[in-house]
Amino acid sequence: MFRVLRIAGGAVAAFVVGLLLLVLVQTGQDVRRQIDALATANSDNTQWSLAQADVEILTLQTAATAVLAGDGAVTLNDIRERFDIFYSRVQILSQSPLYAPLRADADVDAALARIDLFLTEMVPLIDAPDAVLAGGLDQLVQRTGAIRDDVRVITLRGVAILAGDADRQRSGVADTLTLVSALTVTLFVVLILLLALLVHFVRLERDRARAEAHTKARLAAIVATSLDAVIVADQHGRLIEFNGAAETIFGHARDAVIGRRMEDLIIPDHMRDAHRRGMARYQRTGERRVIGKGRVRLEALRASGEVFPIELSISQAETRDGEIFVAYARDITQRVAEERELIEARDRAVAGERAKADLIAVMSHEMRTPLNGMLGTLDLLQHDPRIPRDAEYLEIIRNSGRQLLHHVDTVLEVSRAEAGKIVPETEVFSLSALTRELVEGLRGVAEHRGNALVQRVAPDGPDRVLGDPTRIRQVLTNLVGNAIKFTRNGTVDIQVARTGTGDMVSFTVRDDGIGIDPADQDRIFEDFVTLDTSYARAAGGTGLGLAIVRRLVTAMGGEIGVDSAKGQGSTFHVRLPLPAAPADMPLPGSDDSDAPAAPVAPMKVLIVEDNRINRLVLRELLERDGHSVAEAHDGREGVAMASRNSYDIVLMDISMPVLDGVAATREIRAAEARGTRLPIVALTAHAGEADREGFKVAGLDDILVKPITRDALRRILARSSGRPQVPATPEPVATLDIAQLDDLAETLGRDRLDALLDDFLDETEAAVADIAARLDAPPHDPDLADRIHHAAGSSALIGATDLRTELATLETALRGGHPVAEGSAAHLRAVWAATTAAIARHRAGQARP
Amino acid sequence: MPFRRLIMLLTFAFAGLGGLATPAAALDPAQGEVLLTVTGAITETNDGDSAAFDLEMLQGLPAVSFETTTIWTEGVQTFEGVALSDLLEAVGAEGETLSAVAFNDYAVDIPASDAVTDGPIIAYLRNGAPMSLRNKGPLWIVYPYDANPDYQSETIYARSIWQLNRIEVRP
Repeated sequence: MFRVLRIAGGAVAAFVVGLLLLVLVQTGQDVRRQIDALATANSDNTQWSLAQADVEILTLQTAATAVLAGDGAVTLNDIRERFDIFYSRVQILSQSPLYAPLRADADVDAALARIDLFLTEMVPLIDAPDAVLAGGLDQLVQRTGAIRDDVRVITLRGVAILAGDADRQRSGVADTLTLVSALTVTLFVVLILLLALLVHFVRLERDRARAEAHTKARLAAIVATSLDAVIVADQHGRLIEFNGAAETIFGHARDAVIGRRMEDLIIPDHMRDAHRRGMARYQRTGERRVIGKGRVRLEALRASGEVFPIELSISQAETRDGEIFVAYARDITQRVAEERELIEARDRAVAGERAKADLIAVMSHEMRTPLNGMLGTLDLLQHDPRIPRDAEYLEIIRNSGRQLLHHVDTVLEVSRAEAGKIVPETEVFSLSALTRELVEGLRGVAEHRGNALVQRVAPDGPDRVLGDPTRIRQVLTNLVGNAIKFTRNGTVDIQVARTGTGDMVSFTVRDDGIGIDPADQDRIFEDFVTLDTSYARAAGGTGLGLAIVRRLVTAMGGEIGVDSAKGQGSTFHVRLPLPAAPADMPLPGSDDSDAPAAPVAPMKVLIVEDNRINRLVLRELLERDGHSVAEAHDGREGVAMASRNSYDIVLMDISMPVLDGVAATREIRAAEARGTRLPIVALTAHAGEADREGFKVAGLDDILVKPITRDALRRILARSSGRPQVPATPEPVATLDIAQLDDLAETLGRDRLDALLDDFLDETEAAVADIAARLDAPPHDPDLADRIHHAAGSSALIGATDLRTELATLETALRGGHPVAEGSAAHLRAVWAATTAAIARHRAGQARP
Repeated sequence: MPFRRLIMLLTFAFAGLGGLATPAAALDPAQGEVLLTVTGAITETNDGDSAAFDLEMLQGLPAVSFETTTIWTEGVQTFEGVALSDLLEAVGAEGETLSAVAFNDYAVDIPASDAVTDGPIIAYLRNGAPMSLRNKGPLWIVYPYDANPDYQSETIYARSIWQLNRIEVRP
């Protein structure tokens, strides 16, 4: 804005000055003309000449009069001379251009004419001989006297006219000079203004120059003190600035390098070509690869010839002398070295960590194999007890073994979690069944510590949901197990409810045990945290339980938290997204449950397993159920046997020498005839180890996770054979424990079991009716709890799990002085009805074959 | 006007006779009518302390002619005469100022420095003819006004004395 004004002002000023100068020049020329006119002075002394004419006619008259009077001093020649002089004077008046304005006057013209006539008439007399002249003197005197008036008229008129002309000329000159003065003054004023403007601009310019000098000095100081090398080169790559840091870094003295080519000094040999190509490309196309691209790592050359890493940033600028390039360069030799060390250290650390994790995984895995053998063998012994004392010892061994296996599994779980290998399954399951089974499984432990276990699944919302029941069970088992551990003679309450209208299901595990110090509440979900109180020590935990729980919950997209106070008990909240299962999705067989399974019809089974103990256990388990068993000791042998003989199923270990399970399966499948498919089941040490997709691609149909139990084996065989398991439709597990009934049948014999069941039905029918009636009519007698306890004991004996759970819950509540939940009586009656129906179905199923 | 010319010649001749009586050092005495008398700081004389010139003597000196207009005449005039410088040389003038006096008693001072080559002349012919007293003759100091603008000034016009009669050379 200011700049525009300034330019416009300058233009206006220039215009005004130009105009003034033009007028002044013209006026000046006018003045010059007038001065020239004055200088040329074509006037002579006109007035003097006029006056002289008057004098000269008088002189002539005087001379003539003197001669006439006889004055001897004056001769006739004197008269002639005076006449000629007068004649000459009049001629000038008549002819000279000087007197043209005079002659224009009528009076003057008339007078001149009369004078001319006088002269013409007098010439013959004057030129006549003396005698004639002397004779005519009278006439001459008379005529001369007469003409004097005319001469006087000319003189007076002439003086007046010439004076007027002079006046006009003077006033003209005066006017012009006035104009010149005015113009000069104006010009002077304008020039003064311009001068002021100029002074202003000069001051501005000086200020700017000073500011520029300061900026320059500051820049120079910045460049000089920069810790980074500052290098400036012109468009031909010649150095024009090289600061102190550059001298230090590159080892060149500034004065020695200014004006020299950059590429000869600081660019290493192997990069010169690239540099030249880059510069050429930039100058040709303007394409930039390094310039203005921020930090770039390159290599540079020191005066010593050493090539070292630099980090630099180049920018480009236009200057009066053409394009320049400014580079800031930093010697990063040390940083690069440190980075390299850091990377190496990290690599070492990572490698060490990986080795450690691998070691743990391998060790855990290797520990599982002998443990599996041990536990499998114990399973065989259980059914063949020698003396009660042995059975008791065996139970101890088995519990210890299971504990050990659990720890190993926990460690494995953590290492797998660390590797991010927890991938939740999505299958249909029943929330209430899961909770009930869980509570039942832990009731024994709880009662051992005098704890009542209460569970309540809120009836609102769908029961059949999609999720990973195994993981959820693992989480809840852990939380409930902890609650039981840290509570003595108290209550552990498990509640399941939907929160809001979404998919979120909240699991709440509340105990009234020792509680957790608030300071510790954040830490308990970390790895290997066993609070130094009895919290973890009491059960000799690994300190990994809650860490795994947290990982599992997170992996399932949920969250976990705890409310607790020292001595006030703890409440763990788990929230998981569990959407309702579509109605057409069936509940899968409870493969992963611990529910007992019935044996299937005899099959021909090929075991491919390198571990002798595992083979032994498997063979024993299978042969007890009436199957025929063949064994192969490695994959190669397995493939050979499968091709020679026909089997109903192959149990294929995965990790084997010679040929592993996956490869062996692939070979078997490759050799199979079209349309036939031999069921092959993978035996793996751990479910997590199994690459389900990889197994499926290789041709494995199912997975059997070690340790192999009788029930799991039976279910696998049932599924793989495609033949129905017996019973065809398994009862909801919790209503009636079939395994328990089977065990009883084996122990007591079928007939005695039938009698036992009849007694149970009669007795408990009455008991349930009585209990339900009394529940509906509080207050409750203390002996109600005893009555319930007795009924619960009977239920447990025949495996009526659901009924037993219900009764136990009631008993716990009554004994703890808690109010009995509303609707408990109705619920109890419903459970009883379900139980009797299940028993009836079981009997019918047993009778059928 | 042959008659008047005759009278004039006679007049000149008469004057020249008068000059004969004066003894001359370097200059021959004037034979005809004396037209110009030079006095003052001069070395060459022919009439006592003065140098007297008749027309013949003047014409004996180197002649110079030029054309010019004047403010007193109409049209271009041709003047012929002797250069003022030549005349001063002829009389051995050693002064700074020339006091020129005319028949009509007009007088003016001319600096000797005016006497330069291509400068003023003492004209005795105008348009090829001698000048009568009535026509500003017989001698007229004329500057080449047209050839040199410096001569177009009041001062020079004042110095252009006609009907020239005498010159006194003053130191």
